Amino acid sequence: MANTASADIRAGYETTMITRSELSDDALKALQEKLAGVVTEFGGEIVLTEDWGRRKLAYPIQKESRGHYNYFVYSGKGEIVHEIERHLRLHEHVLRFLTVNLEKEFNAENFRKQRAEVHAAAKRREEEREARREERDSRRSYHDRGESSGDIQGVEISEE
Amino acid sequence: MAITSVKGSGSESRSFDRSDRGDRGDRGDRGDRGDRGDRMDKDGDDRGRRGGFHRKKVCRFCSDQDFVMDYKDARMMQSFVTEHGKIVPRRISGNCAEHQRKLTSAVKRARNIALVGYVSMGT
Repeated sequence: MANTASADIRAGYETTMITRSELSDDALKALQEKLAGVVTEFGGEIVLTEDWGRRKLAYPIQKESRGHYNYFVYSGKGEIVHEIERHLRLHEHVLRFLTVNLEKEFNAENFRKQRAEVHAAAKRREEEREARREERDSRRSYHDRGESSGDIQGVEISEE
Repeated sequence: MAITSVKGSGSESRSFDRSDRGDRGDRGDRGDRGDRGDRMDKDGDDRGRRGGFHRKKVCRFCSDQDFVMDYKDARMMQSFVTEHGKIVPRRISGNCAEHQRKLTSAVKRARNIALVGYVSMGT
């Protein structure tokens, strides 16, 4: 941000990596620091990092059914991606990784803001879903009590 | 009024069931994509017979600004993938062409990092 040189055309990249769930936190931290070092070494900048924690994988990878997800966004030149992916490939505890090139006019501030919004929206939706589930449950228990009318259709018509 | 709406919701769920079956049933010889228009007509006719009800499907990504396309959001992805792991076609989900295209690539990315399965795991 501070160095707004004229040749400051930096693309943004986001990388998600899955590490073995038995990889210790210290080792994971070491890996993260190594990658952060790579980014700064190549003149890039770490925009944001997220730890999604241990999750169940949708399908087993290398016989592992759980994995630790880590997500980080950085800006810089394309060589950074090569270097980072090389490191990830060499690391034996990394199960999988995916790097996505974000749009060309990458703005770190905007991205952080957007990401925060996405999180907020997800949370809101989660709450809505929770509320709906509760509503449904309460309605279902109501119907269970009034068993004679069967289903919703019967009730709605009889109300009219 | 109330009665027609009830009917509508019933026929909608039925059309869902049938198209699910159709995937490998009577039309198994045809590609998934080729029969879109054909099926659409049939659907419309069916619904026409049962009280002239036709609900216009709208793209959820267009109508809700909060609903962002993101391959990292497994929860969102789940609603556009069948339990077998197939991407739900546009004629069923009602997505617009642009968002369906983006969704496809998003789902494929999510599959890569094991947020969405390639096939069902029978769980």
